[in-house]
Amino acid sequence: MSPPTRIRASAAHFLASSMFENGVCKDILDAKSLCMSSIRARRKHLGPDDSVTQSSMTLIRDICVSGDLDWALWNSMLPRSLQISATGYHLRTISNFPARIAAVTATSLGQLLSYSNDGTQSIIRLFNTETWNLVSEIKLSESVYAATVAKEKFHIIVTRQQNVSNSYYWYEAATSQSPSLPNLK
Amino acid sequence: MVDQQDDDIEVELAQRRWNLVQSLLVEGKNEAAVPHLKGVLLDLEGLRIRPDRWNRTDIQFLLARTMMKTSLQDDASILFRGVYESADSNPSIRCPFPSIFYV
Repeated sequence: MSPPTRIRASAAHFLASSMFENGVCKDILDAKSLCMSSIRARRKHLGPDDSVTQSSMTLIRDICVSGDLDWALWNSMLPRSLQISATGYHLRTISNFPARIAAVTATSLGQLLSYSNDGTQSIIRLFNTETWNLVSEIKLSESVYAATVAKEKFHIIVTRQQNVSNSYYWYEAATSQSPSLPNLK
Repeated sequence: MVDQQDDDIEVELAQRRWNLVQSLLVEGKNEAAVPHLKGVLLDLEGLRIRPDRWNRTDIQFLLARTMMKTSLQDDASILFRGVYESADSNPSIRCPFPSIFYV
């Protein structure tokens, strides 16, 4: 990446982060635009790189936390070519970028997340870990995306680790339910 | 001849200010570094002879990153906006600071 592009992408990143913190609706819309500008600049000039992916994920996570999960999930597909381990978020073995982002979101929000794929569409469900109510259900049926994840079928649960504040663990299972948690449909 | 001497003195003073900024940043004294970084920017405007390694946009970016760590975050946003909008038209940007400053 050339120095002008690098500094432009970095400035966009920090500006977007600042805007998210302000939380003003107009600023958030602007911040999304900056976020994508930053990510596109990196994708254009770099191959897979851990720091790039981490920074992109951080920005998208901020958008998730701001409440626009749908937008974040769709746009998280843009940098999916950068599919490498996200060690900072303890999501090392989840290979699919949107799923990782969603799991990060669930971690941030303290919610339980279910991700499934039946070969034609992917469904991401978020549950409130206190009430077990369904918070959000997002169906991803775009053909390109479906082709990417057609053979994937897994279930992710993110929950709070007991006795450790602000710390979470997750695990992945082949079945659609966990023996220690409520049945997820 | 006089102009040359003036230039040399200005560059020397600017270099000392820059050295001071670097010392303050290394010590984590961000609040104290901010006014001196602003001074560096003014130095860049006033110098007739500019050290090659100094670029205004690079210094603006450093100032914004430093302000982020202080209570001057609104000012930092304004600076980041300026860097973002002007970077493409400034091919002399070098990104000379440690990689931790960038993302």
